[in-house]
Amino acid sequence: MTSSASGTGSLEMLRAWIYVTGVLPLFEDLVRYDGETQAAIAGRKLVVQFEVRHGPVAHLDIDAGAIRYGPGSHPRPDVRLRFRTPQRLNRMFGGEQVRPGLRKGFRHLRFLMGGFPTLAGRLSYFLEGEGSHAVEADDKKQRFLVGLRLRALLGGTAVVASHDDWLSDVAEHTPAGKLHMKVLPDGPEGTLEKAVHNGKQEFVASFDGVIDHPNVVMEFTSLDAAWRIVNGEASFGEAASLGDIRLAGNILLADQLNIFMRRLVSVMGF
Amino acid sequence: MDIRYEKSIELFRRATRVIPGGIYGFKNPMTNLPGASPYYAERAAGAHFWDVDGNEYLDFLCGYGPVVLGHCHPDVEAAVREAMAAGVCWNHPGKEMVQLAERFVELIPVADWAVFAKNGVDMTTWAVRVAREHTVRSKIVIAQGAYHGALPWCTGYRAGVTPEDRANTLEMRWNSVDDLERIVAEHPGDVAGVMLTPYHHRYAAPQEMPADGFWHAVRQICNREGIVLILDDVRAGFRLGLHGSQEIFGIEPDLVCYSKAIGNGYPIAAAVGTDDLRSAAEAIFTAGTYWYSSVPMAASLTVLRILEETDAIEHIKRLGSRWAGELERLGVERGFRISVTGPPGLTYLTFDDDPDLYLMQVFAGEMIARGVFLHPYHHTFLTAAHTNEDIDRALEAAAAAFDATEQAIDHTAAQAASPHF
Repeated sequence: MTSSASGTGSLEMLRAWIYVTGVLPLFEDLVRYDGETQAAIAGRKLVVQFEVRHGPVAHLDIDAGAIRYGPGSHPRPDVRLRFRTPQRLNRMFGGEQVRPGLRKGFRHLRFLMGGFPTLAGRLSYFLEGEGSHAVEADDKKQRFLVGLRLRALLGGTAVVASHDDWLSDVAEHTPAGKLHMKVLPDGPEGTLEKAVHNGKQEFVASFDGVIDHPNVVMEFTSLDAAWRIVNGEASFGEAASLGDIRLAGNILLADQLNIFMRRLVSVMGF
Repeated sequence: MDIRYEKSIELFRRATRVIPGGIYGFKNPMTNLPGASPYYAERAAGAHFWDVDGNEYLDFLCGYGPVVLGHCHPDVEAAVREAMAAGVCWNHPGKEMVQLAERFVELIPVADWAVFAKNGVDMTTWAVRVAREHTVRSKIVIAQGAYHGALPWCTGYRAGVTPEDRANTLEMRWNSVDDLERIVAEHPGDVAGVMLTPYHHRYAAPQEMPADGFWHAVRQICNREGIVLILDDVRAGFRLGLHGSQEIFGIEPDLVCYSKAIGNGYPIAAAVGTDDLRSAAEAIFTAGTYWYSSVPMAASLTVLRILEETDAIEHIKRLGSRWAGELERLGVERGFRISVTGPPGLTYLTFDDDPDLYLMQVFAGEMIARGVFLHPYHHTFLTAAHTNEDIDRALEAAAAAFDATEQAIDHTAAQAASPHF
């Protein structure tokens, strides 16, 4: 799958890719932490699929009080939300009232009109709004917020590296390898990997915890330190130089991946 | 953070408020060992420097190469003081520009003329323009991973660089004559120049010497295709021989770029070329407000004189050979599989089973902690001011650093995560 990111329209497509494949997975974490999100999906069992014309497709499987993200099409989605343009999807994630094309799932219309905007609103609340302030938060909330940000950062970076034509040359020149980020002493953590299979490159973010053979290790020395960095209050370079990050391993890989991270922040504002 | 660097870190903290990133470019702490290396220096003399916290170091980097005679060499400083007393920025060049051009023409076999600027990239970029003007072609071939400066056409750092900036820069693998043949065939009649360093001094990787016959083959292709062969001798020039690196490696370039060692730290760069390219060189309008200053030219004239009159270059090579040989022995004795690559004085240590440089980071950190400033990713630069006693001290530190590296393998979090030990 490719997208062009050389003009305004294609930037919108890049944002759509980030929302659909980098932000939607955050609902998995959101529902585990947030009571309002849990209430919004209580008793619901449905698969909602998001489709952008000539762009990304992914689905959310809502069942038994949990949300699972799935890349690509689901074999039997209950609802198919089709967006004719990336702008429409992006506006929806930005909190505007947007009515996507409903290909399937009219009987879930009520949830789609009321429930899903609640989910999107809660995510926005924790990512950018009032709920995103971690400094005075309790440990549980701080861990949640840092984890959410870390996941947004690594997931979004993988999307940028995969789909941003502006940086396609950088992506091509990035060495294959894994960057492991961990907040000391006991997480959250995640990994961003460039893999090459049969000459084809792939950027993937994963959050499984255990990682074999990382090429770069980036350890945040505390939750506070991690928050300042994933929240954009300090750059990685400054944080490492001031002792908030311990960095070891393949510095060239870290340098290259940092370019995508900066691009993510400039494109999305988070 | 190491309390040895308290003032460095405090300065850096202030810097982050008023300078993007605190320190930009290759002197940013991230490009070294953040927290385990000084960020700001205060003074230097001979083969030593002191950071703002008062820590003293034996210098194995020497300003990233320019300091070839030692910091604050008295003769160079005297020449600079005399030149400065006459003014530093005139409306016209001074006599030193002519004298310096004459020196380069005397010293460099292929040089029929010379021009001057401030930094290596001024000259590599200028050389590209001369090649294009001469050939009326667009493309420039460079080696993958080579450093010719930090401008968009050649930088490996892609932030702020458009695909169009790089569109005329093509990359071949070092030592691959096949790659060069393929590129030339894919761009018939459009390759203006091939720019290569005398050997491949890559960052954070083993240094690669030219394969037997490589330079001869490159020259043959350039002759056959009417391509200008540009030697980027900015880093190694005047460190391996008084007549440039082409003498050492048997290269016959059309244009050669110099900087670093020719000024012992003063900002000066030079390019020399053959008569065939004189007309193209004359056609290129290029200038910088400070490019004509006599002060760094006076420094350069003195440096070239000292290099010619003393055995400075041979001294550096002798010390460099000793350092490389004994460093390798110390590592091997402790069971490490290591390589010390690069010509004498310009060597880089790599642990063979450690491509991500975890071990090198520990080793360099241990060296710095023991007062020997060894860069984890950059090859060394020794100077005429280094002594055998300095090498003794560095080797003593290296023995301890190897021991500490061995112990660290089992104990640091980052190392535990690495696949290599």
